[in-house]
Amino acid sequence: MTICIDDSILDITNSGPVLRASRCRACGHDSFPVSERCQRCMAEEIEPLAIVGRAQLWTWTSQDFCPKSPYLECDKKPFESYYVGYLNPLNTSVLIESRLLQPGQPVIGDLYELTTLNLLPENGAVVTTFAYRSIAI
Amino acid sequence: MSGVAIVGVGLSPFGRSSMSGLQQGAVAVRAALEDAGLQWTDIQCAYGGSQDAGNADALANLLGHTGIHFTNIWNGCATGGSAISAAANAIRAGEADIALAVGFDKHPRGAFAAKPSDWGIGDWYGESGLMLTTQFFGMKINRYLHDHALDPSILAQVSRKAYANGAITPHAWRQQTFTEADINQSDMLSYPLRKLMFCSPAEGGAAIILCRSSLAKDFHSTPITLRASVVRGREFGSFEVFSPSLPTARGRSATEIASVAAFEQAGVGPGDIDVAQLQDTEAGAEIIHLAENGFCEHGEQGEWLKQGHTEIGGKLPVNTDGGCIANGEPVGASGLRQVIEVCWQLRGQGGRRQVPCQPRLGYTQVYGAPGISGVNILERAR
Ligand SMILES: [Zn+2]
Repeated sequence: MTICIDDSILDITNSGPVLRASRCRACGHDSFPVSERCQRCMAEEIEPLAIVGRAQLWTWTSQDFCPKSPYLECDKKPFESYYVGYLNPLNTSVLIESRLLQPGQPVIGDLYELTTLNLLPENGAVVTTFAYRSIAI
Repeated sequence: MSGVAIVGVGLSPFGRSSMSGLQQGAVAVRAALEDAGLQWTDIQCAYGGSQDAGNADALANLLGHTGIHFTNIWNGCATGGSAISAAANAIRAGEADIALAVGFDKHPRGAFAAKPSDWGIGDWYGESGLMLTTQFFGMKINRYLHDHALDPSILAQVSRKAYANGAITPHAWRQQTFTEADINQSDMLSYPLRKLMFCSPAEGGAAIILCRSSLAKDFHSTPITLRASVVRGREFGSFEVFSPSLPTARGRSATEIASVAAFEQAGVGPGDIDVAQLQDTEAGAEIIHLAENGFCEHGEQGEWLKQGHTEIGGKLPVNTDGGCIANGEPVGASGLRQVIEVCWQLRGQGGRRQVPCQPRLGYTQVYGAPGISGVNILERAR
């Protein structure tokens, strides 16, 4: 059975994944996950913001050793290194931290697209989280 | 900041010990008392902290119940900075003439395990493989190198210096030198940071006795005046650990804010400092902190290292005892070790690692998650 890792942050629709974020009506600051108050100006006038599509890579690193629990694949062998980064979804004022999917070493400034990543814990479940996939050729 | 001096320092050497964390704290306090020629019954108030080794005020079980107010302090890796600042403020406020700042710790081996709920973050963050401090340090320095056109090879230069200084520091945990090639061949943990570029959790204790300056000469022949002792938080938008998202507009870091306030309090500038201790959780932190504390411009670090400015004998020796990289990080004690090393340097007690030409002004900066920085400026009393 495939389950969403947390439906308060991620909505998996027929047309693809959507990140549930929020935008402050007072100052325009964007938050992910949704914030009850604006973290910048503390205003309470918050509207939902759906983040989809493309984003630009701001920074990145590699994860070259297997993380401990609660990482869902902490028991998976052999461990395969993965990349993580912060990306700026186009037309937002936020950088989102995410797993990166791509063949080679990431490059700051490259474009990515929001997608999903299935994690396979030992208990046999399939847990879907979000990730960004490189669209650089 | 007029009126407060350091008259006693003591360390229970960092590394691995058969003693409990509290016992290591007591060893440090006894050493500091001996250094100042004082008894535990002379201490009028105390501030201390530990992450994994118990409540600091339980030190009274080992040192004696004298009825003083012993305040437990907890500010992550910046705990030592908060303890010394609080002790100095107690003297400034007239609450005490003689005060103690102490820290100790004993951590399990390996990277600190963090729980998302302790940080107000959903479980999805850890489950997705994002909740690792090593990733944060890798991403922060990767962007910094990119923004300021710095070559990643400077990371191995900083690490080489840390081990070289540790090797001539009798109480340092890591006593082995490594070449830049050795460092660049150690395991990659989070690009561009390799295993030998990181400090490790460790054990140890550190204690400092402060007093009203007018009394200082009664206790130590070379008192160290605390010219500034400042702890500050961050502005919204600073890049900190365990952030599922960040605003695109950056705010000033805790270190930038604390450093400006400390120089203002002391009435001196970065160019006046003769010796410094800067938080080096990993090699990239020392690079960033050189600029965030005002010692060089952002992007100048490559030239600074090429010229050897941060070596013992350079124009600003940094982390003369090998810093966190060579000493490990017992969280509660780490910020106090920095101050103790600078006191030894200002007193001329640095042994083989002594900075030449009788340094007069010293500087320490400790940084803790999620965005707390403690800065001290110290001066050898004339
Ligand atoms: Zn706002």
